[in-house]
Amino acid sequence: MAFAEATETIERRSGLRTVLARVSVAPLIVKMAMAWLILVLFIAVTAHWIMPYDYQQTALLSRLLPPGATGPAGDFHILGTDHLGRDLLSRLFSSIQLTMLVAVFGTVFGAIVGSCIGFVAARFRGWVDDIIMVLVDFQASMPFVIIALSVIAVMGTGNMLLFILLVGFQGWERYARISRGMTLSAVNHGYAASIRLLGAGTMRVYLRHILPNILAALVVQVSINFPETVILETSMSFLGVGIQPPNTSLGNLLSYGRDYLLNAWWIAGVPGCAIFFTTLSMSVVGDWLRDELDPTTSSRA
Amino acid sequence: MTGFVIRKILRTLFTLFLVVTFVFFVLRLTGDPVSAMMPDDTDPAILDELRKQWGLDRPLGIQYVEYWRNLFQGDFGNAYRDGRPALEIVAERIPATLKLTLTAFAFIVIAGFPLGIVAAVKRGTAIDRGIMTISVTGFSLPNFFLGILLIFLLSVTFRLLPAYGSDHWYNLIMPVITLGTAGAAVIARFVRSSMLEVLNSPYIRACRARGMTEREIIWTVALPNASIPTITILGFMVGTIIGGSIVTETVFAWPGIGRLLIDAVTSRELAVVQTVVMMTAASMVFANLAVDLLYLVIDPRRRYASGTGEQ
Repeated sequence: MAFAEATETIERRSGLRTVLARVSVAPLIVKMAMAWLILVLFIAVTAHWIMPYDYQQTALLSRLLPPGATGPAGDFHILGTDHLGRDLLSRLFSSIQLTMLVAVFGTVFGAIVGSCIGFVAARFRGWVDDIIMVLVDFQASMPFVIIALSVIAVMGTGNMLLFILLVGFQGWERYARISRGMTLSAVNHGYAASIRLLGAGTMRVYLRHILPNILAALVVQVSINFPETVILETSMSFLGVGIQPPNTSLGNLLSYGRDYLLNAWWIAGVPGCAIFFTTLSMSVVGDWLRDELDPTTSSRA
Repeated sequence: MTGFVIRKILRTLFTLFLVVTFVFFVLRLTGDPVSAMMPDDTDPAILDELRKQWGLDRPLGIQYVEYWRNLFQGDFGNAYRDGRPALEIVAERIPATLKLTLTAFAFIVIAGFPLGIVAAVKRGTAIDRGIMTISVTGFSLPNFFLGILLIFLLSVTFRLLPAYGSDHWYNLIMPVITLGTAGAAVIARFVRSSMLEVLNSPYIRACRARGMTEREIIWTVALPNASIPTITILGFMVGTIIGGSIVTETVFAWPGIGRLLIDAVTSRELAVVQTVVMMTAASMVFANLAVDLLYLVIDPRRRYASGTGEQ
């Protein structure tokens, strides 16, 4: 098993050209999903340069303008305005930026911490391993949002760094499980021991030799975790316990919109569709990635 | 088999112990509950007085033992706003949440299984692709957006259902769809792949060779066998539903525990928060135990695998 994956990894490492070749034969829906994700990432990076108005700028005379409307001051709003006359497109860009920021940093943080915990369990075995596995089981049996909410209840809302770390921590137990299990099988396979005999230190063995071999499995897990992180962050912001004003995430935007469904559907509709298309695209791309990376579930097998 | 059951029960109790310990340390170590509850400009002398009154000035170990003793006496602390016992506040919200979550659970099973079965039987056809597309869509729709979408369509546009309220059976329709869709989508996908696996196995070929009709095979052989692994997923669903009910109850102003939890988090009613967390954890842990024990009953292989079976 470990050997099959090792060769698999080597085969896959044939550079950017193969990646592009794989993408070019992907189904249309996968390409569309990738295009949407690239657009979202582009918006996330450039939000502050491409937004037509200041996203916090209120204009009471231009309140609740529908998409494509022009305000009394001649201001044009492609996606309309909200209840304070703020330009919805600008707020959407700013929200996408923050939502992506939380999702990317959170996911990376969770993946690193979770995998390291798994490495530690596999490296030390014994009681360290036991304790870690008990915590992993405990985490797996609790909805993460409940844990996040109880931490927020004590620490209070408004600490963005804490919130990013908290949201990112979601799913750590799955990374831990994967990295532990695959490290153990890699160790059993013997190549780690031979490198060690050649004089490599622990860090070198784990980072240079074991990590590359389990990377495919971790990437698959990231593709599962990323949309979940987006949904967790937007849910918590929607509930009012996540990102706090004046910052705004897609969840905040949607929760304002709920009160204006009767006369201004676009305030909820725009961020809602943005979240939906993003998580849908991630699922589609993730499914495709899983088939490409994981030889055991591959439809080509 | 008895050994297996005892091990599982011990494990359940141990997890509960961890939950209580976790809640205790989150509440005591990550912040000072007194200054968290009081306004920022409170006189330090008053804060000290409150700390003393609540026993927060004593060593952590003693507080921890005390904490357990209170729990066993049914004392989960009092809400600081009106001084009522937290347990009582939470208890009166339970019926509404149970009504919502149990109906959603039924919805997940009733919608998820048939879709999965049909998709598996019609594998590769337009029907299969259609069901799988619905499933991916349902899975990717965040429940807060789905809830708002339903309110917009059914309440605002077509005026079929009231957006809020919990007194009539029809008030349940939108919250249950909101809460159950993602779960039903997961179950449909899972039942489909599980059915396909079974349908491709040699014993199904044997059934065909014996002259059973496709219908008989699907209903009497394939479905029961394919259902077994689905039970694990249904066990996971308990957590998904509990997590999802927080959002759903907020969207529809449903007077349940989920909304209570959000209110308690924003107003920092720590006693209420800890009660909800512990109850949630307990129901999840017991759901997992039930799944494990259910396996023993329906899957004979488990009885063999657990070593001391009744063979």
